[in-house]
Amino acid sequence: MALFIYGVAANTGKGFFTHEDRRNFFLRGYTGKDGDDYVDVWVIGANERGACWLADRNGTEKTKSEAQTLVTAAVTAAQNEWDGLSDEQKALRGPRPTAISIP
Amino acid sequence: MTDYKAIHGKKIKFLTTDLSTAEGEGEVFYSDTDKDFKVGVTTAAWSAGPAMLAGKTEGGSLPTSPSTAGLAGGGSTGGDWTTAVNTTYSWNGSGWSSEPNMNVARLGIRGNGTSTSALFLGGVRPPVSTYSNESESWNGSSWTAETAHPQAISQSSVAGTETAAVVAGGYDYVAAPGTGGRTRETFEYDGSSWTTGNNKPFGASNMGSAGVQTASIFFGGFGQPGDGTAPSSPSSNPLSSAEEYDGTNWTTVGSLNTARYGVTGSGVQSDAGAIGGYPAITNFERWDGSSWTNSSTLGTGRQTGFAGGSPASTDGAFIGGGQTPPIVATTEKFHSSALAYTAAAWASGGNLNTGRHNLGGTGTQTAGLAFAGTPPVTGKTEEYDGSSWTESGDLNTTRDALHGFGTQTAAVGAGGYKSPSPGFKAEVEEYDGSSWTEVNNLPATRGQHAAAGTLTAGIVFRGHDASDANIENTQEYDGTNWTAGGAMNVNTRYSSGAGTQTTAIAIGGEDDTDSTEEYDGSSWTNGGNLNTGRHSAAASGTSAAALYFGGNPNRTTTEGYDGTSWSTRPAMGTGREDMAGSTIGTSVLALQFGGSPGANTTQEFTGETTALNLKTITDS
Repeated sequence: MALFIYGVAANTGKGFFTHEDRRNFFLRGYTGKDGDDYVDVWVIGANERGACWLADRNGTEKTKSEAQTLVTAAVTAAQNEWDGLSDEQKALRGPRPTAISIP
Repeated sequence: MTDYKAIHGKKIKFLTTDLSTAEGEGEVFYSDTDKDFKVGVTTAAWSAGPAMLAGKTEGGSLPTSPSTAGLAGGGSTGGDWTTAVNTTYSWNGSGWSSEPNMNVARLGIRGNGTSTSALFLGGVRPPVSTYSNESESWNGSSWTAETAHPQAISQSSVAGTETAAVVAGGYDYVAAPGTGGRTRETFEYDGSSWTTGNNKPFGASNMGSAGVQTASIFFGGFGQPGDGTAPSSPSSNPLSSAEEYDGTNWTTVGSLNTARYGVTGSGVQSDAGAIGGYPAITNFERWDGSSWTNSSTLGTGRQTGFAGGSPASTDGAFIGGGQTPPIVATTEKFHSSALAYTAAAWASGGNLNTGRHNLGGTGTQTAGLAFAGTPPVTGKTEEYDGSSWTESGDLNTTRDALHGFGTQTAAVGAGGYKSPSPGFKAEVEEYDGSSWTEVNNLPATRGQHAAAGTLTAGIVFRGHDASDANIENTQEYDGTNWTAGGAMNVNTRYSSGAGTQTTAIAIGGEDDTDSTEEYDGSSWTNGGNLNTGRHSAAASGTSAAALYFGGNPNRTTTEGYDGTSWSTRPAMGTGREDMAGSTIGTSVLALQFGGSPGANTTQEFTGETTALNLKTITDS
């Protein structure tokens, strides 16, 4: 059985994930980019509660590869933005964003 | 009406507020709140704890040490017998901290003792054929090589301390290479030399152990084929037997209900735990000195983890790491108590109306304040009430990379940046709960700094200016004027701050420094180092109890500080950097909001809580 479920679901704020959710299953959120839109990408523990959580939030399940592509697109956008900054702004902003590998 | 006191000779308390502490165990009372009779009852349960710094298995721990003073030394992160690590993690009951490495990386190593007097020995130096007889002691801060064990041995079991240890069983590769040489032999160590003891009844490796040299118990394990109760030619040979050692002789005692090897032991001879085992079972049994009883099961079944604590003690027991497979870092805590433990965790909070990063922020979990940030550069201000953000008056000078301090109704926003170059700001504004007012500037421009305190007693520190030089001085604010405070020991940028002017803490910074400094109102002193150095994170609490969370690159890492050292806490749901936090919040009720890239999300941290287990008494 796979360890994780991957999906996209917009974080609607308070109650979107609860303390109880965090105790019941693994959950990690990442910023992704789908075309021009930023999306919330989730890596969810592959148990019954995790699967129900994504479904209850009208999430769209993705493959790991699809989820990684979205996250990488967001990182690439951040890197491109950073590359366009002046030296002063780069110093202010900090290091160039680095690649993120989802579990 | 029947008089309860007349029947039972005892009164029942009438309480307008329900009992809530462990002292309520066994006490019957009438709850005026719910109009019911209630009683505090004991339950036994595992609850989640913060993860280890990295998952590992097949190492040594301190089964007999209290649940607030554990250790995990050596082991393997690879899940096979080809890799070994020498990492050491300590457990303080709330989280894991990194400690100095062992001298020799080994897996199959085992140990026991206290947090200041422990003995670890044996194991395998990959490749698998290189068995080790090396011993090391731990004194609470460093590892020292000890007299080598008489055998090159792996997966033995240990009871006692560095100066009074007993080691039993194990896989004796030299004596019986490739033949399944699980030994019966027993050795004792006094801190300088090894002596032989009487053989234990059965040859076994990978047992659980608990207790001290003169009062210990060994249980389960992988049996030597044909030896004692073990079948003659098994491929997998779990034992259920248990034997006690009194410093001289072995006595066979009651067997485990579930035979297993790879079981992780904890406790003392009169109060021991057999936790998990192969193949990653969730089974947990408790030994009360006379028999084994099945207790509540683990949330995550595992074998060969790192454990400690006596199950019946106030602090209970714990297990971290192990193999499920795969190797895990998860930790679980066991309590048999009238208190129900609810694990610490992060949850989502209400979303900001305007997503942003490099913003200013302060306040508490139920009274937060977010202001300014980018993109685009804004002066927007929002207030948080514990569930939603409401827009308020904008800053007069839009900017990002600023920082602030104070409360939701009395805050300060200082410095920052807005292009074009040179865009660094010295402007300072005060917030009164509805609007911002320009006040005296900082003595010099400053961006990417940190801040702490209140409107009438605040400080800003670290950061850099247009020359790209890190700023050395601290500036104190009294509600009107800025004056120079104490110089910092580490000059950096992208740090986080929290606390009051006299209990401030400066954490992390550029180049992922692990530095922590504490301010007492006049001078900075070095504190304990972070386990994971990082920058552009956020903090909540004070120099005596702080929480540091997130950081570049969009980490979920969370650590807690107890005034001396940092240890792990449950990870955030979404990794964030360049965000803000509840700088005057606490280490157990914290708020995180915003972050890169232009995020509008909020997350709330609630520390571990306890509540009295109350049962309602019915008449049916």
